[in-house]
Formats: sequence, structure tokens, C-alpha cells
Amino acid sequence: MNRNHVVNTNEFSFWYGNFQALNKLTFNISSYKITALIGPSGCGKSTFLKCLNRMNERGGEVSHEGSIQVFGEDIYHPIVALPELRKQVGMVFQKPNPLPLSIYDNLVFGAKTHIKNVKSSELDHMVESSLKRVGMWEDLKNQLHRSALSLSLEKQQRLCIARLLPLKPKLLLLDEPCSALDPAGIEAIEILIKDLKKDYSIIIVTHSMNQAKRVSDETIFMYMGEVVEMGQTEELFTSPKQQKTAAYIDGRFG
Amino acid sequence: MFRPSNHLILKEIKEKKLKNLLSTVTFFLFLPALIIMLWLFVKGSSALSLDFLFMDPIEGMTAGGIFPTIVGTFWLVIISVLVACPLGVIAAIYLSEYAKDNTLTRIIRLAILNLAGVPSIVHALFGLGAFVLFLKMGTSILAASLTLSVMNLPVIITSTLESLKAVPQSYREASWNVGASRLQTIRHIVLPNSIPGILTGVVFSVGRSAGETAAILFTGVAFYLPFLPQSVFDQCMSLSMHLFTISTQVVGVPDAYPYATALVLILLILSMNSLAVALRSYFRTRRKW
Repeated sequence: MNRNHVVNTNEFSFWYGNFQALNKLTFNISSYKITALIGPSGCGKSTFLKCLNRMNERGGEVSHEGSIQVFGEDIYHPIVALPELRKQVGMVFQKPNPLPLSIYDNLVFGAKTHIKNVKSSELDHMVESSLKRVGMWEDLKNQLHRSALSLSLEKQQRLCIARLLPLKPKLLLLDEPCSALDPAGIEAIEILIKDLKKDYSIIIVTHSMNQAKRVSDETIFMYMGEVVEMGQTEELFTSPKQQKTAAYIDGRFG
Repeated sequence: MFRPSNHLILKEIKEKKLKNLLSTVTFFLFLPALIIMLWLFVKGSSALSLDFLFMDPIEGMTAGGIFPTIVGTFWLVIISVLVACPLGVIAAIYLSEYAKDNTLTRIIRLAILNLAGVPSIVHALFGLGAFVLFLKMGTSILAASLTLSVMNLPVIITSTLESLKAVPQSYREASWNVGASRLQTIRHIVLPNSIPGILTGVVFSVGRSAGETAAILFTGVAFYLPFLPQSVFDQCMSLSMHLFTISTQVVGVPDAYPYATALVLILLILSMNSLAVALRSYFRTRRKW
């Protein structure tokens, strides 16, 4: 495995029942970068993202061919334990989904499920450091036992990012994390994402080409379950090599 | 300029009429329940006393009280719930949280729905064949309770399924996503959020089995027993059966007795249903979020 790559896919195809959602994807994703997945609805970008921590295996039959390696390990190998995979590859969803618990309990929920008898001082520390990392400690340190559902959407989304951090993930998957937010919220989250790049590899699915341009280092353009083009974000947007890419980023379809 | 046109006025009159119709219908639906209760109370309250509740029936059931029937009803209800509740909840958890949506599970779901539609007298025959004869339990509290639990299972499974489905999928995803296993997710997220609904289903099914007559007719209930049941292998008397017996099978029962018995039965079921409602609201308020 190449140290600079966090994800290597090899001829990876994926089916929901009889419907083929992904067709022979072969590419690498760099570590400690922000990689944007763009493409029209139904192009398979969200499916691919969910494959990375295997969140799409519920509700109906799915099947795959080929392989995806994360940190050099085949995540579809029978020995892979899903809880362990998801701990290291965390996902943030389109709609903020804090658990119906307090802010504090949201942040320690993951740690509590993995470690028996964690000391409460350790939990406190986890809460403080992860809230600091997403820039909400000062705001919330006196109301940690408030319901997480009472926060604004933007703060809920920050909390959803923060609660992944105590698990020490290596790869963060963001599935259109800003689509439920207002412009100020979007800006705040984007700043946070760029800052998180120092410590984590990030893959972000987005509908907004402007967002891809603003936050990502590399961009992958998908269409009908295939990768049409990928490369440095700037290059891809300024001088796309494929007709389809050019048409999409010009807004001519999708 | 903003005055209503004739057309609009007509429309509003129509709307008012419709609203009145709906409220009248609703009221008349409530009326029978009220009348039944009042009627039972008027006719039966003269017989109602502590003696009536706590004495054995005497003189060929034409005097005394209904104590053994109350005891018997409690035996039947409690054992049937103890059996049906864990089975039903476990089955519902499996169907909702683990089972994939395929032909087999669709057949299981259909079977459960159909089981709910089976008449209770058919359940009674099944209980007679399966529990009394094949498993050699004899006519006993155990056989009758098991028959009741088979009858209640579809109700409990369906109501539990509904409450599990009401927990947003996004909660489960959030929990899986921080690496919680399926079981941990069920224990810490899904069940705490669906307990009120599950309990309601269970307690309503309790009310149902308290009033059930046919299903226990051949399987464990006697017309008259001179002693209280000592174990689950004894037979027992039950309120519903006793009501049938003294209304139609025994000569010389005072007029008020059947009404008083019915009143006790209904009050028992009503109190269980109110318990369900109380429990539900208790859990709702206790949940801080």
C-alpha cells in the first residue's frame, strides 16, 4: 500500500438487488486531503461513500465485486468487524442526526460502547477536547446536559462531527453535510472541515460545485456509476479533460 | 372588496354542516360505551359489595360472591402475559431490526397478521389439541394461559413492530456510525425510545385476555370449582365464563348478579387500559428529550 493513499479501489462494482449502482471503480484517494465527490443525482457518489464504511447493507440485498482497501486493508474481507470499521471510518450525514440524548451523552456514546468502565474523568476529557476541536467548547461548556436536539442545525452538525473524534477515526466521510444549513452555517462548517484536514483524511459528497471548489484538494466526477474524471480540484474545474465533466461543471446537465 | 361572494357563503354553510355531521357521529360512537357502563351500574350496583368481591359463590352460584373468578382471571392474565410478552417483543425486534426483507420474512409477517384474524373459538380448539391433549397439560390454567398467549402474540408483535418502526432510522445510523453493534444500538437507542409504545400494546392485550371467554372454554376454565387453584396445573374459574354461566345456565340467580359481575369485569379491563395510558405518559415525560 502506498502511504499517501487512504483509499484504493480496484475494479469495484456494487449492486442494490439487480440495479448496478457502481461500475468497476478503480482509483486512489490521497490521505490528509479533502476529496470531493461530485456528479448528478443517482451517479453513485453517495453509494460509494456509504460503501467505505458499509452503511448501505441494510434493507434489501446488496452485492459487490472487486475490492476497496482502506489503509491498505480490504474492508469487504470476511474478517472485518463492522463496528471496528465504522469506528475508524466515521460518517456525517446530510441531515444532522444527533441521538436523542444530552450533548454530553452524544459525545461519549461511541466511547462507552467500545470501552468497558471508562473513567468519568476520561469521558469529561473526551467531551472537552472534541468540543474544542469543533470550536463549540466555549459556547456549550455550561450546558453539556442540554438535549442535543435543542441545538441549531449547524451546531447539531458540528456535534455530529465532534462525536466521531473521540473514536480516533482516520477517515471522515461527509455526505452532503451542508445541505440542511443556511449560508452562515455552511461557511462555518466549511471552515471546520478545512481545519480538520490537518488530522484527518476527508471525503465529501456535495451537490454544490462551488463547495467542491472552495473546500476540496482533489475532485472526482462520477456519472452513471462510473468515474468520468478525477484530479486536482483546480485543474478539473479550470480545464476538464472530458466533455461530460465540462458540461456538468458548466451546469449544462445534472 | 373583501366581502364573501355568494359562492363562498354557500361553501361555508356546507362546511359547517359537514363539521356538525362529523361531531354528531363521533358523539354517537361514544354514547354506547357510556350507556353500557351506566346500565351495568344501575342494574348491578345493588349487588356490589365487599362480600360480593371476596366471597365464594354458594348455593349453586345463586348467592355469595365471585372471589374465585377474580383470582382465576388474574392467574390466566398474568401467566399469558409472562409468556406472550417476551416472545412477542423478541419476535418483533428480530423482524424489525435483524430480518432482511425477503420472501420468508414477508410470509412470517403475513402469518402474524392472519393469526390476529383467527376467531378465538378456533384458538380454543388449537389450544385443546396442542396444549391440553398433545402436550398432556390437561385442562389447566397453564393450557388456558398458553392459548391466550397464542391469541395475544400477534397483537403484541404488531404493536411492538409499530413502535420500533417509529424510532427514526437516523438514530440507528448515528449509533452504528460510532461503531455501536446492532445489539448495543437496540439496547441503548431503539428500545428506550420505543418502550412506551411497546408497553401500551402489552397492557391492551392484557385487557383483551381478561375478557376472553371462548379461548379458555375448553382449555382450563371450569363452570364451578369448590376450591381456589393451587398451581398452574389446576383448573380455575374466570369472570367472563362465570358471567356466561350465571346468565344462562343457572336458575334462580338474583337479577343484579350478572350485571355486577359484568361491571367488575369491565372495571378491571378499564383500569388496565388506563394503566396503559398512564404508563405511556409517564415514560413520555420521563424521557427528557
